[in-house]
Amino acid sequence: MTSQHNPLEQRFFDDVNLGDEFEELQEPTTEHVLQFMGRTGRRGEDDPGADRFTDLTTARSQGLERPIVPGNMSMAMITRLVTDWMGPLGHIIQLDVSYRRPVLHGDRIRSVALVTDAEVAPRVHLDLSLENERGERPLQGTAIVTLPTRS
Amino acid sequence: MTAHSYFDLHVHSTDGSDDAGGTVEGYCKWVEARRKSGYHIDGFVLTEHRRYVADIDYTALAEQYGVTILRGIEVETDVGHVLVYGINDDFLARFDLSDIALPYAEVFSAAEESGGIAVGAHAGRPRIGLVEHVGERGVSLETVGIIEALNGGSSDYENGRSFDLAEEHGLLTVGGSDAHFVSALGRCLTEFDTVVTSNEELVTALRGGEFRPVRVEDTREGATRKELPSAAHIPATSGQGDLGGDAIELDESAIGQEVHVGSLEVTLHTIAEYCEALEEVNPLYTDAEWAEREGPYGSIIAPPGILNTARLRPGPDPQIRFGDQSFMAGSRLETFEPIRPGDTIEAFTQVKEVYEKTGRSGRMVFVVRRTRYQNQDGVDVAATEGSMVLRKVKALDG
Repeated sequence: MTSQHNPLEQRFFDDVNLGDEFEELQEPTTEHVLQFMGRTGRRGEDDPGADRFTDLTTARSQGLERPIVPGNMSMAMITRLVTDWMGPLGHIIQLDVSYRRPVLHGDRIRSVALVTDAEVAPRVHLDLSLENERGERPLQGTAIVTLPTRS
Repeated sequence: MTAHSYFDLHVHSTDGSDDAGGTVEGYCKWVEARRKSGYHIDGFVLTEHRRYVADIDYTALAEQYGVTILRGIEVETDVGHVLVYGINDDFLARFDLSDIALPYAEVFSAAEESGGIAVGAHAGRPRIGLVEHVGERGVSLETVGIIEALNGGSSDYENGRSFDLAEEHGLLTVGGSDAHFVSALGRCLTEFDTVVTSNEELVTALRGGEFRPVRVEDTREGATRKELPSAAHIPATSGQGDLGGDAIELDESAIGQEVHVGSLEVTLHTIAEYCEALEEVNPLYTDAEWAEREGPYGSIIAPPGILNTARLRPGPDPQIRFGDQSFMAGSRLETFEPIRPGDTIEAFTQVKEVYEKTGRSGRMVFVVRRTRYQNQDGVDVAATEGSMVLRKVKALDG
């Protein structure tokens, strides 16, 4: 799950245009999911529903083809795309996502962000989505971020 | 030469649809940008879910951007979702629009009788499109004349099923993006062989039958039109549940009641742990020296996502008796002030809303919880909203 943007590189409002698109390719594996759940405290006896994120039999008993990626992790994936693109001085004001289909372990995910408004500095509006190799968009959302200006 | 006009007949906005992220002004700006790229979009129709929003005046926006903004509605029926155009008081008086299983034949007839017209939305989608109901239940298409066969939110397979149904039953077809977000607007459109500038003209054009679904690429001058999809592709997800049923039982007193659900101690160590888990390398969160020297806050701060690591009690329980599975349907994060090492964040949660709707998996109940995060100085640093969906599922074999 490597980033294609250097988060140390600062993006400035002046250089952003409506229609700009940026993306990262990610392939969340079972190992990634286990690591995420362990680190963020999602796994444990207080969360009995968590098995569908790791166990094939449980997932299939719930009508899922394979174990799924937790919603928080999908949100973290799209958040990281935005923070990497913004650079360290960018700031997320609001991030709003809608989970429309499950992300399955091993899906090849294209995280995409597209600038939909960059008229009034320093705010930039983005449309966000995760797209899988089946042409579906399991996650869609929006973000409002602020970027520094060069002047 | 025929004067074509191009409309997106299926658009949701933040003014009326719970699951939309696109604002009406955002859509207008997007149309402006698409035109600059050579595409032809004259306007769009706001078709909010289960709500007819008539009290917002878009005249100024329409004039500013030169975009025609029309209004319809997307209602939910016993055979799936239906788009209705040319809405008036007569139509609105006949139905409770929040009902998720309206009688479809009556909706189509009432639209016609009241001077409007109804269109079967995303006809090829499981459960919420007409195809499955015609195929499995033998539903009559006597009152149905038009279906949305090219839908921007459906897979090629689902759209292919719609075109097959239209061909088999002699139905007319339209296109709509089903946009919930700005950049989706215009993906699929309807090309009319006439100029449309009002809701009345839209109804007249749809009744006239001189229209067809197109993709936005098809609207460019000299574009070669791509073939419309066929159903000879891999099927998408299968249907799961029913569309209607008894009223949902719940404890309404739990709604709107905010309670303290826990706290989170933020330290340099917990920030470092979180960053490690997410392979986060932004120096604002990871490099104390850099953050002090170059950062806007004078020190390291915590990534806003650290709030997800708080172990919180669930808060008020509306005791909903429905379904056997819950999923996250949506998340919203709003940040107000930086979260710093040494902060103690207190969390307060309330059930903001409970509602139901239908989707590919049948009937669903949504529970929206809002959590406010306050630091030790009594300042709200962030808020989150999480929407859980409850549904009934069928296990897969094997």
